[in-house]
Amino acid sequence: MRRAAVSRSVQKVAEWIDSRVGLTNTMLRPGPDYSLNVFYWLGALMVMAFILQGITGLLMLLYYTPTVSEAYSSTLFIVRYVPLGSLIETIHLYSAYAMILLAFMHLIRGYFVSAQKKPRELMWVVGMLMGLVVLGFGLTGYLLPWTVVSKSATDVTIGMISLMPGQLGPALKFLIAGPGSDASELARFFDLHVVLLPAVFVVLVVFKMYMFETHGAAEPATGLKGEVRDIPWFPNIFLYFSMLSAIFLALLIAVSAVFPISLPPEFTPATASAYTPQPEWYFLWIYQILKFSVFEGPWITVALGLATIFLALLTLLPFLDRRSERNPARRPIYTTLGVIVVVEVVVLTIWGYFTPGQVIPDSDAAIITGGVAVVISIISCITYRTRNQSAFGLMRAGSFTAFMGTPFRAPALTSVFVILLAVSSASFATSVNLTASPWSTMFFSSLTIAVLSFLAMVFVVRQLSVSHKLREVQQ
Amino acid sequence: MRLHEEGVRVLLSATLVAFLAVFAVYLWFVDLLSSQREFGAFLTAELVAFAMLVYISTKPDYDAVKKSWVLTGCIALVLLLTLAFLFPGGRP
Repeated sequence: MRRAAVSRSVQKVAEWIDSRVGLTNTMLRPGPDYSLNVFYWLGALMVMAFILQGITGLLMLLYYTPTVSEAYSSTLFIVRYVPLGSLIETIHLYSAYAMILLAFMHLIRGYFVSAQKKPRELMWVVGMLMGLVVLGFGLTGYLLPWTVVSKSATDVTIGMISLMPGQLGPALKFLIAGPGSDASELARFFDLHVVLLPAVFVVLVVFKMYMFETHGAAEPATGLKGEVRDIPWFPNIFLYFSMLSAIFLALLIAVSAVFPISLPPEFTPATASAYTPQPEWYFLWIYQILKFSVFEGPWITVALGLATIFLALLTLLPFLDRRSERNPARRPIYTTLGVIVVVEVVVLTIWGYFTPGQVIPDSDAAIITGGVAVVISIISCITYRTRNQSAFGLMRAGSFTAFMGTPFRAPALTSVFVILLAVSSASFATSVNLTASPWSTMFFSSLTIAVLSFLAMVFVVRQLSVSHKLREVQQ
Repeated sequence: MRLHEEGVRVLLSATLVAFLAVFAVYLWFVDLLSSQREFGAFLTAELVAFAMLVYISTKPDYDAVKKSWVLTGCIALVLLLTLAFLFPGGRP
């Protein structure tokens, strides 16, 4: 009896607030059942990481001093002597990594399911701007502890930015790093990290949320299966997101507790001279491209110009790809291009991690980046062909494994191909002097050649058997 | 005596609520300077238990609860408590 009375009172208060604020008609309105899927919540988890960054960042601000002489010592004080300081500092760093990773995943997912299509074009553009702001957070925050690793990495990144074409490079460098002294650089990075970027990010989040509330969650790219049910925001959607957030935070805190950061030495000219500068992992892929010997000297500006054009094209994607088709299975070119870019970024990042400070010979660069692109194109070709052949009834539906096993069913033909490809691969490797390259290049090149050879063999053998089967069907 | 399936769900939820309450109190007494790893592990365990509780209670019936998820959660809790009790340090 008493419980029912309390419940009624709570409901009355909730109704009063809702009648004034109107939340159940806007942000807290029911959502479609297909949105209860973790891939629909990557952006929300990114905002969750941002909130965590805000809380841990504010706590660190109680002790941090943004001056060249005290930045390192105040960070060391937080890590060593402040209760929970080490854990908070580590959570701040790892949540920044999580935010960048989630931003990348959100972008990749949006690209493959064509989330940028009408009427969500501006949501895509705003999302891209948010991605740049997130990278800005990473760049500006990394310098603040003033360690030899962070200062050297930031100098590399600023060097990359200052080489951008025309007046853009110097202007951007002045804007983010000031006239050139260490003190002005640290002060500007601190202001950007603590004031300007959070403010811009919050404005962009609000703008994106507003558009999201107008358009709602995009339907699955593969189409709807059955009738769509609307699910109440409270308690269903609220509890689902609470569960996701709890798991996300649990993962972050667990990793932070098990692998706490250890602060590298303070930046001084002496420590810097003994250290090979390397940017953070999320900039490694572009840094690796800039290390290709073809981009040495003045050509580096060309590379950065191409990267800027690529970024601009990606931002303007909704206005370039205007077809209404969203299913990746029916968009082979865009899907293949997307996979190539994602895999290239991953390969370049790993490669960059293993080759700090090395200039990459053009032959290695061509083999690895070109090899990856060719391998993926062939896989894509085979996959889409298999799909079409399934549709024509030439193959059993879903028999991709059987398709890949084709060479083993034609042993004589396969043997000839193996010998031919082994000889040609070996001669190719010798011609570009691969055997004298470091082990990582050797490994990637051998792997690329092996996979490429295998797929080429599968493709050709299958082509022969399919054309043979086609003739049989026609007869 | 065999428990009714709905009974299992209630029992599991009650255990998780008890776990949350006990370790929330325990967290209060952990030394925040010398036992940061312990604090992190307990906080993570609290979050995992909370996620499990939400997952179990929001399913329409016990059949809809994926037992593999519950098992994963339980293993995570055991690992976290082991970590907290065996390696309580964490101060650099």
